[in-house]
Amino acid sequence: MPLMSALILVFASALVLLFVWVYNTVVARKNQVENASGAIEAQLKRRRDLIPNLVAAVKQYMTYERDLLEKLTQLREWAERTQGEEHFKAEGELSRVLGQIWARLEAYPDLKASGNFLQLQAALTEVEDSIAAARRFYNQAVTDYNNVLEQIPFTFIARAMGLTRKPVFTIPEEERAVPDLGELFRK
Amino acid sequence: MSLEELETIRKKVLLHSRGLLFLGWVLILLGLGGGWRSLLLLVGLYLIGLARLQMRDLQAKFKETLVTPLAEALGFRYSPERGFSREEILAPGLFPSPDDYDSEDLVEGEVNGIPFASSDIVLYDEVEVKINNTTTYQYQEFFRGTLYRFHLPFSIEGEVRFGPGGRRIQVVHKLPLFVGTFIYVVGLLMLVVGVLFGGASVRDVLPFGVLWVLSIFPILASTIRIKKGFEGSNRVVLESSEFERFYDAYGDQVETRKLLTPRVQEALVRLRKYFGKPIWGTVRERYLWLAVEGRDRFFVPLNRPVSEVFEMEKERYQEELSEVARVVEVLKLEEEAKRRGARWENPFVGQGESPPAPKKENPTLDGDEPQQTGDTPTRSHSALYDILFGKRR
Repeated sequence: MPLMSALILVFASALVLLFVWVYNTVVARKNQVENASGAIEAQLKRRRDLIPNLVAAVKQYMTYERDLLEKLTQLREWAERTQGEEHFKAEGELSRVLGQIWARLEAYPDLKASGNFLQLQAALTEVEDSIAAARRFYNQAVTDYNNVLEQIPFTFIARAMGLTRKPVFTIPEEERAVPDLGELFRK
Repeated sequence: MSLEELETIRKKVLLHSRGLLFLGWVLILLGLGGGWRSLLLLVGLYLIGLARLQMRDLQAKFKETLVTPLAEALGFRYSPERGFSREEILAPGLFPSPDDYDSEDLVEGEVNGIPFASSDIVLYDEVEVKINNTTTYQYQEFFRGTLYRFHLPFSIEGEVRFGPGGRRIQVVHKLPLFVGTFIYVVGLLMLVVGVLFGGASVRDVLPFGVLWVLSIFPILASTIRIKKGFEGSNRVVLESSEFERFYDAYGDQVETRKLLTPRVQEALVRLRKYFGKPIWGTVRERYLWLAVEGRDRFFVPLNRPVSEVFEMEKERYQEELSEVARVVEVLKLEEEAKRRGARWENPFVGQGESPPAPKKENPTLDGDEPQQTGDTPTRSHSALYDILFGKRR
């Protein structure tokens, strides 16, 4: 029976190798999602850090928008101290209010002449680009992760590890309508 | 130089160089006899080299006369004999260091406020060839194409690279791969013939079979070398399936996506389809480099009369010169700069060099005919300009 033993040994080795490969793939996908999530958070933090400067730069010009600027400051603090679902809600709200502020800038031509403000605007545009890129990274990572969760043989290991599907980022309707900031300043 | 003068020179140089070539080959054949006649062989080689140099000079003259006015009409500077230096070729990190290189057809200028330089390059690797216990060294070409360099009005953090099918440009020694594959196929045939027609049993051929299976590894190793990606950076999988078909991107996950937005991915796909050739690219700090394989932009067929070359090639030369504008247009580099709020500082200013005249109209990538620009060519080429584009109003 040495042939049979050899066959069993080969089969068992193949199974172990398959398990290791599947387990490593699932773990890699899970870690990639965490990595992408961290990348988004880092960019959101950069944006939050710029908000006090923005408020300071525009408040003397945008005297009629004090409520909006106050709301922006409150939302920033809310986003700072919350986590999870609530944190993302706060960040979403922050994006929406920032969008409103950009939209109202047209009424304040003096602001366009301010060098400080233009620098700040470039920095915020850059951060928004980074946030968008980080979201795309996150969505890609989540798509790969969700695929693995539903594919055989990965699904067995993923279920045993208690992993569940994660949602991808979608752009809220109001964010889609945010005007092109660069276009506003070119006018 | 007028067309007639150029035609006279062409005829003279062709006659001269063909005479030298003929004489050179005759002397080489005579010199093969050995002994004192080896000297004839050396003289023959010298004459052939001389003939090639003459042809090269003629090519340069042709290019100078034919391409320069076209380049100037587009607001570019053209130098047929100049090209990127070794350092400039290696700067994008797309190529391994070559043992030798050729670089010519330097075109410099500015398109929509984006300064650029481009040059045709050929890179060689020195390979050892052993024939009958004699070792000789030959130069094997591993890249031939055009390298474009754009000076961006904005800078990016880190470095983003992209290339076709996950491979960087590198020296691939095709001979071992070819010989390995040949031996592999012949080995299989011999095993099959041995068992089917030679009366050998499976047990007899088993050791050879094992050897045959193992011989796949060196072949695979050669293939893996070809497939090797960019070192020290992560593969970034992007959304566009078409982009993924033509390119693999490498770099930081966020920075790469920030640069290669869906619009830029689409533009790079259009560019790849337009060129119909593999494209490699690097973006670092304020520079974008693009390497397009398999091109010799301003090749001149010297065996044809000048007037015929003019008629046949002028549009192609103009197309080649306009491609750089298409790259800027397709990638929307100037729009990207405005969007990023970049304040452009012209790198030509302050270096004792005046910026080239801006190009007023660019051809589009939608298959439109190249548009004649409104820029005025220099006086020395005005006659040629009239021939190429018709009389100016």
